[in-house]
Amino acid sequence: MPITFLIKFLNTELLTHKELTMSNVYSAMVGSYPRPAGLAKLINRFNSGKISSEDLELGYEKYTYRLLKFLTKLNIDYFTDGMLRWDDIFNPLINYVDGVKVNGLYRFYENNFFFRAPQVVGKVRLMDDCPIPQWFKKSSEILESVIKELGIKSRPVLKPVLPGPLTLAINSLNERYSNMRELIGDYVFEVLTPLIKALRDLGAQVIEIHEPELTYGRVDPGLKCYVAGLLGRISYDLKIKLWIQTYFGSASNALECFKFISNNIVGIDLVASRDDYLNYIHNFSYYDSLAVGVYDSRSTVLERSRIIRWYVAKFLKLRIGNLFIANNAPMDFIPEVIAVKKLRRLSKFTKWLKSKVGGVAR
Amino acid sequence: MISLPILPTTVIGSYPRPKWFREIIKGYKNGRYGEELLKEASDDAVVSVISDQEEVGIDIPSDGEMRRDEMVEYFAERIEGFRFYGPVRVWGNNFFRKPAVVSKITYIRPIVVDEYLFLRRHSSRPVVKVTITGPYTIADWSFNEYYNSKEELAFELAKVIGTEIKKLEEVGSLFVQVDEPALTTHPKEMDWAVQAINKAVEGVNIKVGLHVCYSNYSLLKPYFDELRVTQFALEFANRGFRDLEVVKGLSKELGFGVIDVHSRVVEEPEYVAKALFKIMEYLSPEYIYVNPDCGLKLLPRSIAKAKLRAMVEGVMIVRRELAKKGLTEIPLRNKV
Repeated sequence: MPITFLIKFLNTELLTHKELTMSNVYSAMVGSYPRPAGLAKLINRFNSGKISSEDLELGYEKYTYRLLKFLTKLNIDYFTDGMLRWDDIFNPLINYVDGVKVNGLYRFYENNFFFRAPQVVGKVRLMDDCPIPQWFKKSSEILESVIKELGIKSRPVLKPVLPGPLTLAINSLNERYSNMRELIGDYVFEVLTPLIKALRDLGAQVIEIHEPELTYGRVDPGLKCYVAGLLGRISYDLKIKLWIQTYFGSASNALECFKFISNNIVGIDLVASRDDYLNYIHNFSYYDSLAVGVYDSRSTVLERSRIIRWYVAKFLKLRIGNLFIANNAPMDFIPEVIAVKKLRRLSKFTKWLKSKVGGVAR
Repeated sequence: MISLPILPTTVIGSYPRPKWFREIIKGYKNGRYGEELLKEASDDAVVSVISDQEEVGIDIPSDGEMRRDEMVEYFAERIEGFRFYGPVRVWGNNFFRKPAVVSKITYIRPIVVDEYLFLRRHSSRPVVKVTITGPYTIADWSFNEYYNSKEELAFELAKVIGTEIKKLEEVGSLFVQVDEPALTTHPKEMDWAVQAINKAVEGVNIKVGLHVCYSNYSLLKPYFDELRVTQFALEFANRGFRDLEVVKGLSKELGFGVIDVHSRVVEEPEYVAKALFKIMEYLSPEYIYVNPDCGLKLLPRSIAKAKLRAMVEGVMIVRRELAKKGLTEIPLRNKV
């Protein structure tokens, strides 16, 4: 039978190379998880004055617990707390930045999803009362209780998430800075650096930085490399691993810049790179860490393992130190029921892959 | 020929549902009330919101889209080929049930014709507006699990939407607004997206407006002439009236968005008037309609009404100035 033969061929072709044992394989969830309907209702009730901030906080904790337990049980190795407290990748962070006003709604790239834009009216600087580090602390405590409850020995890694400086700057309405590099510099050193420091001090091992602008293709390469250089510098100076997550564009748009952050984890959107990935993936040979976004966070079509296997096999041959199998972008764009199915498939696939090629199993 | 006051005031479409109506919908959804009560309440809600609009002086009211939960959902529920998986976030804490196309798209029966007929019977105004979601936006805001491409899906939907617009024309509708907020989302798709819209309005002889909001209008501008519509209803208040130059040289009408629908602050009439004087530097007043940026449904009803009142009062300030120049009326144009 031709199909059976093809499957056998794929399995053999993909799994017998010696190189396949070179990578440690991990499963990962990047970015947001769809805000559950029950939590959305609670937020509405809070906004209309029907419940107290304490009740809302209990709600956040309940839904964070539910999500972290689900991800831990799935054996996902690296995940975020779903960004359940965030409205988009900029909010509420920009509420806690001096020099920034929260402006009107703007489209988030090519999605039917909108964000409130940062309007830069003064020198930007992080305010002292920014709660993001405390939210990470709270999520870490919840994860701790989940681990205890489930009796898990090997610990998953919880990643706090921040917007990248380029993405922040390009999506800002800049009325203060005369040039973009100056604004980016202040976002890096006055806003993100103190946050990253605080998160590191609270135990974050990896911080996920969302930089869709690196690959989206509307910024000149010089500026992208400048930003990548800054991110590399922060990582080095603060002795913290960054997970630079790109999406909505082919990784081929940022290959030059990735060199500046190659000691970190580079996240690429393979769904957006489907047409040209074979032309560029050799650039990732011998990378320390690469996260391949193969599960499409913008489609309800469920990925077939066979196809995922086909894509992933190409990366396994590149002798990448740590290969992360992940979703390609934030998951706000799909219903929760689909996100659950995709994460289950991601977990199952990675578990199978680890059994074939090694990797750190939990 | 039907005449309208100069700078006709209108709405984009949706209006806040009255609280009592929301309670009845909730009761219907959890089985406390039946179809008949829901229908009666829906009719009463439409009458209430027409009254709100007419009371503050809106020239071209809508039915407030009282019967629609959401602009894509409503159509997807009434066209064969869709299924729903659950809510998806649009912004902040706002969600919609994004449909998925799982089989062939087929027109089943009229979708908004009854809405129009009810509105026509209950409005005192000579012209009312019916809104209909455009084929590109329905395609873009749906998951496509069936067609080979989004383009193929959009053209299938264009046939369905075209059939519906012709049915509206047959029963006497004078003004249909096609809502295409997604139109500029994917610049590479705009060439065929515009053709899909044109396909939907092909052979239509009534006034057709096109509403596009929260978008990059510089991408839309090259298609102003090509799109077979009479009017572009665009959002400008949200962006602080930046980008006005985009309408310079527009050879069609502009539906000028002067009210920010995402802010609860009620605009001053003078603020509206100032914006109108500004836009008149780019476009003749005889080609300007005045509306909020977008649908008002997310606002509390009292604020929505106050905003519309401020909008009409702002228009009055400008109308008084235009009257001095003898400009008091414009014709309802089906073609420009």
